Amino acid sequence: MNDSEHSKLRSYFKWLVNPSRTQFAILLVIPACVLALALAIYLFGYSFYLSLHDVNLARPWSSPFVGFGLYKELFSSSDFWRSMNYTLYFTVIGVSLQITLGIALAVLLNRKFRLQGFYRVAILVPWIIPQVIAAMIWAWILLDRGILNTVLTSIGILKEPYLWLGSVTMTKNIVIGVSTWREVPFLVLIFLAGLQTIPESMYEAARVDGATSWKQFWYITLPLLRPTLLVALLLRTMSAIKAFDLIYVLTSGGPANTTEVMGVYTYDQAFSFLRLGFASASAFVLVLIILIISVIYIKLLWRDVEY
Amino acid sequence: MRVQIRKISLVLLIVSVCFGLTGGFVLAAKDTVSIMLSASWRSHPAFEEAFERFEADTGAEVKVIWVPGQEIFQRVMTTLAGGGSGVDVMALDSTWTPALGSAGYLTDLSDRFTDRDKFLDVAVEAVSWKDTVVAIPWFTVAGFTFLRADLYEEAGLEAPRTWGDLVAVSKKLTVDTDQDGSIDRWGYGWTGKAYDAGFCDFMEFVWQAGGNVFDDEGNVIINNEAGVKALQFLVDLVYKHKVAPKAVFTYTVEDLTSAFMDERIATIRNWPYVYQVANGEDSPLKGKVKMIANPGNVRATASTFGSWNLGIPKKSRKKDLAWKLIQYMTSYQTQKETFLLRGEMPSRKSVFDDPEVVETIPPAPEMLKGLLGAMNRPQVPEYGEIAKAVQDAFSAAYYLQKDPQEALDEAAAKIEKIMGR
Repeated sequence: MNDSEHSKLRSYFKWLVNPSRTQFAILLVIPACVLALALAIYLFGYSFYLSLHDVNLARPWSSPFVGFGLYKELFSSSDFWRSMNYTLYFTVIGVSLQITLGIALAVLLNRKFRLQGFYRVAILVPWIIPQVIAAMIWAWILLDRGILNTVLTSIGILKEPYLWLGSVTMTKNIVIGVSTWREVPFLVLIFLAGLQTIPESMYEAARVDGATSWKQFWYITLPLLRPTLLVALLLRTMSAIKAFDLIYVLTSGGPANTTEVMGVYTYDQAFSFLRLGFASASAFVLVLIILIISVIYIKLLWRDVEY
Repeated sequence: MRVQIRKISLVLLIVSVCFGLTGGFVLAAKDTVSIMLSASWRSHPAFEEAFERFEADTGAEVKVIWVPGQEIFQRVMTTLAGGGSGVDVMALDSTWTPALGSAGYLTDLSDRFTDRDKFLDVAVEAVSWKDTVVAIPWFTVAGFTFLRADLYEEAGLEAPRTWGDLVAVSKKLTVDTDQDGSIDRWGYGWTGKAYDAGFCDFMEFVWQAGGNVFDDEGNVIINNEAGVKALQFLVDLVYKHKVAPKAVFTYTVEDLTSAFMDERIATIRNWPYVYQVANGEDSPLKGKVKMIANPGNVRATASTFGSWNLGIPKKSRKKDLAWKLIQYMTSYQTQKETFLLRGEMPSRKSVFDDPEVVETIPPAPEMLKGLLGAMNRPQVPEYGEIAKAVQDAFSAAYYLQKDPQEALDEAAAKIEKIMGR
């Protein structure tokens, strides 16, 4: 190689041998990124591959290729649609409720009052309790001979014990209630952090102009919380659609399958019926739905914040 | 300086490798046998004693892997499908035999199972798949009816033998003891929750009415007259005759036993262990509980046969030790102790004739009769899906979402689709 070729080569690899700060940062991050991406692509790909074969653990020697046959079976199954129906109900109502409560509580906790520090910590308690244990606690509270019924019947609000987890109409909403209890603290945390980024000077200026608290909230707080809102919505919606632990332990999808979210449906297909291929198809559909919703959120809410 | 660092690192490397190797040897010094059991048996004194005898005689240690009762099928299947070399013995429900047998995850024990004629025929049948034996019968279960003999006597009632009797006595025993407008004690209860145990309860009523899931030729008959009659009867018990609380639709086996022990229900259909629990040392119902065969309809009586059995995963590396443990756990002595202390029925026929058993457990002859007349749930690899289809049906009817005929028709259609795959 002559001199000019040498220097060309050297200029190509200059960033590797003598990188700038940004280039160095990228270099450090690349190994982790590659690993994570490779894993994600592998799992994604394998899951899709599984969903094209009728894999059944009770017949491990034969997994015939069925193309999109399992997806066809999925979409023609009334159980799948019922489950999807409730999952969307759970997600839409649940997330709306949780975001609203999250913002409200965060705004409240942002004010200075006595024991503010204590309340900020205390509100985290539901979130610290592991999902399964939280579900068990609520399952016992809501039993026909559980404490909720005992209290309500002795005060006289109820004449006889109500089957909180045994009602085809109410249990759907009670599950959302328990989920809200568990998830709101995390949202409060996120929104509190978001509120800290809003400079006090904006509120002062607004107050000087004579704006009421409500106007301040609507025209300053909410718009400036938009990036935080996007993050919170994304995270909560993804979690809600994939919900499994809490609901499985609380109701196992009952009564009469009215609270069978997609997570429970997929789990049963995979581990109780041993139909891994079918379960993979179901899981894949869920992934696609989450992807679509995430894209919609980002398109709608991603805007640079202007002061 | 560089050379020093190199030297130190080399020394550290060698030392850690040595530790690693010796650590491995230290762990391997004491032989352990791992056994996977359902957490609902956590307090079974008889199993502990069998483990102690085994450990004393072989010098090996028994390591128990407890799994929640509602999850044990999933855990067993995923462990076996994923290799299962870490578990040497597994507790297996008799309904899993077809799925496990066809998948080939378990060691064939037919050569080692030399004393099979000492076990109940129905038990040996339940662990056999084609010409292999996938597990050794451990303890057996069948459904029975438990009643408060004291309350019956007080009200001058006889134990029910038919569905008609059941409704009549339950009506008399459903009372509002403190006159506050709400019922305090119900006449009858069963496990209505939509899971495997609830499925067992439901099937008994179907069999009592003369029906089944499949007929002898394999046709689906769950939605015939008998099936609908059974489901309608159960729905009527709660809504028409009002002798059972709505809460039974949410009850697991443990909830039902709790309700019985709390004196909130006078008669229940449950599993044999209830007899020991009710007559235990500090039980408030000691001496007041009677155990009888289930009241019948078209069939004089019917009960679900079930057994828990012990198998060895194919990939276990300690098969001989595992087999030894199984022998201890299914021995005459352990089976007798389990029966006496915990009320779980043995799979060895001769235990029922043991003088100590005859003396301590008066209902033993009735239990043997029940066992001999017990019926098996569908013995097919697709058992899980079929059970769920039937559970969906009775659940929909219990919660008045569909009427029994509609619900069972849907179940029949689903089952036909499953079997036709």
